[in-house]
Amino acid sequence: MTDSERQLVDLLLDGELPEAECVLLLKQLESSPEGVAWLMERSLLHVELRHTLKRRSLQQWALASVAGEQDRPIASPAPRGRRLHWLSLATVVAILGLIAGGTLFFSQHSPGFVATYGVLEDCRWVDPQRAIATGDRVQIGHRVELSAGRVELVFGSGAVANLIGPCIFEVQSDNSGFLTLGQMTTLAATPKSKGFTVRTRTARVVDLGTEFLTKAAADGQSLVEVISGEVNVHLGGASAPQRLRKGEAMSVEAGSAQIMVRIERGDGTTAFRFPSIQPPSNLDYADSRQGHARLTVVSGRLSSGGANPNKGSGPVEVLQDGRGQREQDAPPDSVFFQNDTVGQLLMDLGSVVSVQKINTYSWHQNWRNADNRLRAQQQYILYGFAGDTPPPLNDMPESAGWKLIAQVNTDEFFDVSNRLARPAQQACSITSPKGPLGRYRYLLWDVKPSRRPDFKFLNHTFYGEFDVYIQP
Amino acid sequence: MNHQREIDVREQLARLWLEAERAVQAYVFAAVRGFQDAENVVQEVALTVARRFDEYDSSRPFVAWALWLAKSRIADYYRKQGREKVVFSETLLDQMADALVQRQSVFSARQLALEGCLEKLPAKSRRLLELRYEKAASMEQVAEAIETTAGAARVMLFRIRNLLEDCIQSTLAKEAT
Repeated sequence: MTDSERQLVDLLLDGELPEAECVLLLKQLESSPEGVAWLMERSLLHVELRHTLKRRSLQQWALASVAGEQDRPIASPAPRGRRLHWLSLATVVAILGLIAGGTLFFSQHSPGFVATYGVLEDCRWVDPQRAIATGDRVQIGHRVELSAGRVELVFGSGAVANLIGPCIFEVQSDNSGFLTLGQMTTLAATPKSKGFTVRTRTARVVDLGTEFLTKAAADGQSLVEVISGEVNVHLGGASAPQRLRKGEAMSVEAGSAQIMVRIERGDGTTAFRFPSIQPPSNLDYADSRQGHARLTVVSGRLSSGGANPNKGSGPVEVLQDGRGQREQDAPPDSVFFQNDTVGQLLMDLGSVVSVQKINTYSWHQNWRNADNRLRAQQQYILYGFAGDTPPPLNDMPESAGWKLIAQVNTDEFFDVSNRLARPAQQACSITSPKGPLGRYRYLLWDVKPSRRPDFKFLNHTFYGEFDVYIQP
Repeated sequence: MNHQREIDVREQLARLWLEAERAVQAYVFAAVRGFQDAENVVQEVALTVARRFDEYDSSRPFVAWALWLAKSRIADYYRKQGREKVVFSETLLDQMADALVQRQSVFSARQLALEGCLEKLPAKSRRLLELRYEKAASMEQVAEAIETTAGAARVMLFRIRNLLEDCIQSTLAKEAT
């Protein structure tokens, strides 16, 4: 082949050869084995260059990100992400089918490649220059910085992670990663993916053969929910991991105490049975029969029931009577604030005590409308204070001196997107793997109204019992 | 199909695909213009391979089978583009596939050699390659970025590719001795 013929091949591969010349060249090639060999040699180089240079660019970007170069503007939707959207069906089947097991191959034969991008759906990258495509391979240290959309990562172990933007996730090995911010679900269904680990700033979640959801908030709070199977949640300083099973969820607050919030769905009976949280009790420190604690409404107003007093809230003492509601829609057995308001409940424990565990219970399902469980959602922020006189009460308790213990939103835990997805009976248990939650005399529940996701209407939860356990 | 069997099949498919992937890409990139269109066709080939994997006769080379499926996807691509005839004749496509099957054994060694060869290139040459391959810039955009004409950029690219190909061949030859 002459040099000019070879140049024509390059033009052909670059898409720069006019159609007429293209036809002529291809005709020539048909009778030239040497020409065909050259064409394929050159095309191979073309593919190798494309692959190598794209990968290098990603590596450099990842290194820059790890070095702290993170403050990038949020980009407009990347055309590449949109382009891939229509591909997703094909890609799901092809790439997942091909790569799920095949990433094992990457990890064994291509040092450094530990995961592969799968489906990319409506992705907006933090860095608008990012050009990521399904099938792109990922090395250790690669950071996924997603403003919006959904990204699938198939790990070398066979684990499949779905990252939902906004999300920052770093690949740490062929079977682990670090979630800085956002939420992800992980399906670890292959034998090699058992032990898949998601680290957050406050927890290390180790899969035991399962599918689970992990969330990391900007303030460091982490949330783990098990969709199937089991996981172990390891917390720094704790001697033993917390085992979570299917349907169980837990959140971990940032800070040295590493508060865990476990939320569970009840059996919907007056027995208030939950998978691991004990039923309402009259043996806790705050029970009215113990005579230690007093609960008061310090801001907001309990519901009066309007024209029908029987539909109004029971007295605040029902939260200390050692039992939950006697039926599913029982206003007199429940404590709830007026619709569309906020309220605060203050518990004086009488003296400074070492608080071990706090459980709260709710139950509501409208008699006529089975899907009306709005008042079952628990949403509050719990604060504590150890002094003799509680700090002033305002909209910002922390700035007034209260210490944040935990933030609870059971709709987030249960991922409620419609009313039927919300369990009618719920329990929330707040503990710490390191021992007591802290030493407090006062506990303050900053109670938020419940909300229907599909309707702009605020309501208030039917709480049935608050139990406080102390360390003797 | 039981779960373990399914996992085994998927692993086998994935291994074979990864071995054949480079050949399929080279085949499709030669026949389809533009990186994005070519990558889409490769995805289509991957999908077809996955769907029809149970038809694969394991006594024959997998890469040849994958390239045979790729030929149909390339024809589909041209049909969707509304072109009446496929510019690449079936004869030529078969010849291309044969050429790739013969070279398959050196693919991974080529890739490693390329890594080293790229390091030996002057910065300006690497920049030109980055623009063309990483950013998928057109020849006019490449020319503008390196402040030259499109014609000059084409010639430069041709020479850089020749240098790289020579370097790869000499690296492979050294390793073979």
